[in-house]
Amino acid sequence: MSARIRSFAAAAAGPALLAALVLLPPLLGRPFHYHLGILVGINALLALSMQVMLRINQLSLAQAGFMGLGAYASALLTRDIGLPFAAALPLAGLLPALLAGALGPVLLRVRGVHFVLLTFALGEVIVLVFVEWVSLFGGNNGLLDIPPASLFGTALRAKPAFYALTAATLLAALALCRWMTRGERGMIVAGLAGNEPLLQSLGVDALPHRCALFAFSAFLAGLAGSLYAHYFGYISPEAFGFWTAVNALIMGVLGGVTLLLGPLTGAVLLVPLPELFRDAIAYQRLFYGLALMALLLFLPRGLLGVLRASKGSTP
Amino acid sequence: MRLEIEGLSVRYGAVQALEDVSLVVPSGTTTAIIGANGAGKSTFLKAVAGLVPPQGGRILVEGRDLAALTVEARHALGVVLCPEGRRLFPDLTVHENLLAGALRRKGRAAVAADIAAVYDRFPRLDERRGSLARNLSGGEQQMAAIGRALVGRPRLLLLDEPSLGLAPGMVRVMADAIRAIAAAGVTLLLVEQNARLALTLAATGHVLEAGRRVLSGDAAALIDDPRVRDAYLGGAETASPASPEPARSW
Amino acid sequence: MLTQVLLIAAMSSALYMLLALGFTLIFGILRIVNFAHGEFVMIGAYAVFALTSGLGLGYAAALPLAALLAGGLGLLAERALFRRYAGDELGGMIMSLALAITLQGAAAVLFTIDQQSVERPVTGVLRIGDAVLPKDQLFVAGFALAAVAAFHLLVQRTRFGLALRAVAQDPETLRLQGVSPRRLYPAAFGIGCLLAGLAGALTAPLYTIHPYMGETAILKAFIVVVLGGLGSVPGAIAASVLLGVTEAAVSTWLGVTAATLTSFVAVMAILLVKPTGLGGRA
Ligand SMILES: Nc1ncnc2c1ncn2[C@@H]1O[C@H](COP(=O)(O)OP(=O)(O)O)[C@@H](O)[C@H]1O
Ligand SMILES: [Mg+2]
Repeated sequence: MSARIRSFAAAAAGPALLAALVLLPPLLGRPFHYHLGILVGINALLALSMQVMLRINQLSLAQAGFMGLGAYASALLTRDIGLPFAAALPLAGLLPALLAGALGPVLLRVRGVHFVLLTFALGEVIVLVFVEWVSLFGGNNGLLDIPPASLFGTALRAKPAFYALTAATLLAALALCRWMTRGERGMIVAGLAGNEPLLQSLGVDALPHRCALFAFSAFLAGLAGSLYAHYFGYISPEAFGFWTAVNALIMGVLGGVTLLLGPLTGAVLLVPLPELFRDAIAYQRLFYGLALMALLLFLPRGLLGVLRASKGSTP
Repeated sequence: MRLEIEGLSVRYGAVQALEDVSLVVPSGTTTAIIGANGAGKSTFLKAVAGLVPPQGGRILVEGRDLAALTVEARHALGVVLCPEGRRLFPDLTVHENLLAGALRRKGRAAVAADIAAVYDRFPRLDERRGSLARNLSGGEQQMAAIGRALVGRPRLLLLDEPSLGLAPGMVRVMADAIRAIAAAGVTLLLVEQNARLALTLAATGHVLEAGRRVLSGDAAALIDDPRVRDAYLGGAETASPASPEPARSW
Repeated sequence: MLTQVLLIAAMSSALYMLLALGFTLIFGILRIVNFAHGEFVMIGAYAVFALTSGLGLGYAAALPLAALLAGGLGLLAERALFRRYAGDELGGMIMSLALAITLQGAAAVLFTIDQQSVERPVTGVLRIGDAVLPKDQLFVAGFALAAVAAFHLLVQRTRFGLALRAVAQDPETLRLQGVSPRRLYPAAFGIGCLLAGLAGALTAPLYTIHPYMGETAILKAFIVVVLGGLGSVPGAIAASVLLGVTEAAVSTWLGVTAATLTSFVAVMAILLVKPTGLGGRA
């Protein structure tokens, strides 16, 4: 293979993989496949939101809480205020983004492990508020009877329609992330990850950029929450707790932390996993944990990372 | 303990810190390496101690190649580095820092005797034995660092800039201590930016420039060598023995 | 009333110390945030359950055995899983999450997800004036404090403890003294997990036991170490007392939720003023 063909292949591999994954449920065509596709999409969005922060070397465990905020906001706005879904979806992203943007200047002064612990606490506080503020959020029972998503007056009750919505949202989010990591913006993001003194010497004030990225990550998580709420029709606090964040993190790591398609790949691998262990419910968590440990030990750079490395191109 | 270096090269990424340096430190002598900031002096000592892997060349102690030995194993042989910037454990007391120097050793009584000898040599340390290392003055820190190295029972002691940032009086205290250590039979490799001090203490000197050994000779002769005088001793004038130096990150 | 609140405060402070000291020890030495720390509490509790109900041992024998079991498993985990992550904070954290999931799954398989309980070895109350103090709480508080004191002596008075403190402060310089940090990792991890297991074994008769009980424990450990400064032993002790007393007081007079919220808000506020925690140095 000439170098040209090889670089073309490398450039085409990503879009081809993406297209194949997106088209998989329609090709298989069963409702169950659409169902899995929707779950994969929602999880991939959350994992993507986590990856935005990982790109600047910050692990935020508050993302599941942000997802919950989006879910509750979207549910309450459509069910109790009667806002159309088309307006509730972006608002469900904006609300957690505002919260993240407001807390950012405080939280992002902290780095490394302390940031992880702090966002862990923030996530727990958010869930605690859902549980305790019963009159608004319904306490441990959560919210029921959330209206289905609808666009242009048509309810997206059928699974293929909702799948299309999920896939479109995810593609838009991926496009945004790609835009964010290219060109001058990409240089700033890379600088935030590795070399902040360099950024400062270039006259770039780091904190506002970090806050903007934190808000953007919360925005993506909020979108995932809205889709979740309208797909299932009910929500409860425990869906947005610590382990949801952990699962999203694991998806990102599994796929490859620095790769745009890493979170989606991780979601494709992990979301159907419980279905495989259906017959062994009692063993599900054990197998899941063991599989994870094995992956971490034997593929420490993630699946896509390994494929990339074996092709010899730089990530 | 005889140290022999053959063609030593070390690089950090793109920076070639040492290139093809060879020299010999005969057993029981004091040898000085002088050179400007960034010449590669600390790197040289770190390579001997095993902290940085050489890119090429051999390091032999008593004829034995150290390549396969870890930092810890070299310490057990008696190759002890007293690092630049002292590197005391900041939240341990002076006494605990000295004890830390003997962690490898067995035999409480012998360790206690060695620590007592350090307190004899530096009475000031004895007064401050209960203070946290972080609260010591620069001179006290240097005493503690040398004391900690001595408690490790060195046979080849690598001293990295013991006079760095010290007041003239304190530099004299260090010089006396170094002479006493040498008199006790410890082989010494002394790295200094304060060339005059180093060359008065040593029998032999080597000059490093940008990672290469450019000059070697009898220490007394080097002090009078015009090349050394111009570059490292501040011309014909007497250099101030204490050249205050900002702390470096490595 | 006040005496009871004080007893509760003393008991939870001492238990938080057990949790947080181990957690902070592991972080201080291996630089690993052990998200599976709560699972070692769970192991200690289940071990007591299995040894007493399954093998018919007395509690007095089961208590130390359970702690040792947790410590031994911690030692193994360091060897098999964590060793390679020394210095890689994110990698170690993710591995500890995988371990937490695995241990929860293993507990669910071995013991089902039903809640279990252990018979109280100490019963009755102690009356001092008009205060009524349950003896089991007194026992837990006393035993936990004794264990903390023993840990303190180990760290402050022994050569091993000196090496632990030195490696936490500057691993490279410890190597220059001829001691390999890697030789200290297994013991540090094991002792940390042993303390967690001890906390679980001590509280087994007081609370119900289930595979997911570790989450509450790690939450508390987090709050304490963030308050006290990660890796700081005096900080962890001070923060444990602070959290134990605040929780006991607030939950008595305002309810449990208010207590949890208060501790979260306190953590955020303190980190705002001092990002490295109370005992942390920049
Ligand atoms: N850890 C390191 N990483 C990269 N470069 C280094 C490192 N340590 C030293 N250097 C470089 O190697 C050269 C020699 O440094 P050093 O041995 O510290 O010199 P000296 O001790 O003579 O001042 C310098 O150019 C310095 O910038
Ligand atoms: Mg130097």
